[in-house]
Amino acid sequence: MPWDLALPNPLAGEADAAAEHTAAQMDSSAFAGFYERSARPLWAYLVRASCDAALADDLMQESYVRFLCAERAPSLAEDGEVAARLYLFRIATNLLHDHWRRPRAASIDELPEELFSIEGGAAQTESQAELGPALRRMKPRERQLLWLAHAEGYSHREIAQVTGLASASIRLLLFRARRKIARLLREQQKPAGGSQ
Amino acid sequence: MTLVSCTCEKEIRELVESGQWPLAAPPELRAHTSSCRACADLVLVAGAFQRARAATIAAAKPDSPGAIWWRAQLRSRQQAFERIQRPLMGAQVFALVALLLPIVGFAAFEARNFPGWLAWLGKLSQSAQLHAGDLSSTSTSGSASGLIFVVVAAAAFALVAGVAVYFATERK
Repeated sequence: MPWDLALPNPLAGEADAAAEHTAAQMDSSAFAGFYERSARPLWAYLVRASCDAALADDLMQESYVRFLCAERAPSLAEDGEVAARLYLFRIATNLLHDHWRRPRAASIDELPEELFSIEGGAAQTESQAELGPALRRMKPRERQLLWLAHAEGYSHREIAQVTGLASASIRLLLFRARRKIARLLREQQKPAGGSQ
Repeated sequence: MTLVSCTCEKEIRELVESGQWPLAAPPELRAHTSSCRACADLVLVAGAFQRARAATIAAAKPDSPGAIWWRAQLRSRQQAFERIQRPLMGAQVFALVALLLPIVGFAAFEARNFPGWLAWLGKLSQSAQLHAGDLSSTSTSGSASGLIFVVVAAAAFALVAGVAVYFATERK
């Protein structure tokens, strides 16, 4: 008889205790409050960075599950909601990178834009077509940086925590991305202005 | 591309993010954006992202937190169970190795008696009528009792070693 079958009760008890050790860092009611406050911004980040609403749904759920299971996750009571939210966004960013790396073994910067530009989903639900077309022409990392900086209002240091990039390089990357999307937005506005 | 930063960026960014641009902005700051490309880009981009954020958040339909909490509980329990099983697996491997080593050692030690064993086996197959007395009178009876002793000792050692490793390994 295997040992795990011979000793079922003590093992089950220890597993329960260890599981509570991670999940008990935040009780269910505290998590519900945190979820209500952070789920929509996280989904917005994922859907804008991935251009895929279905993928954003999946990754958001997985992000929260990993957040709750992580032993080193910041606790709301001790570290505060900002730290918890940054950690959550970092998990989501890593999941996005994992997803992008999966089809091909290459850096996300080397992958073509078409791979990330999935029609439908976000494009259909987009109430305004102002940003969508320009954003889809940006690289995934640029979309992430721009969203974190200008939609979420994160500082360079916070963006570095979320993306894992060096804080010093965020400034230059963000500057380039902003200039690029500004040019795209202006190009987009030109035909509309000319037709009136 | 040269990184050009402007001292007004911070102030403009705060105004755009708080939704106060351009109404609450000083006239000189508004005039500045028409001459400064970095600030003009900032106003254009930050404004577009703020509007997109509001629209996307309004369209979001997140699941209930209870379902995610339940999934996390299940996964935590599974991960904890796997962590606890790791030392058990190590102890089992150690016990197996501890059992096999004396057996291999004994086999190597008894290799010199191999011709004798072969002769005994040949005699056994040739014998039409095998009696228990014949077995006890063969020359390998001493080796057989030694083998039993070593196997029992190895099994006991392996059991004790496995239990010792299990208790010695730190468990969460």
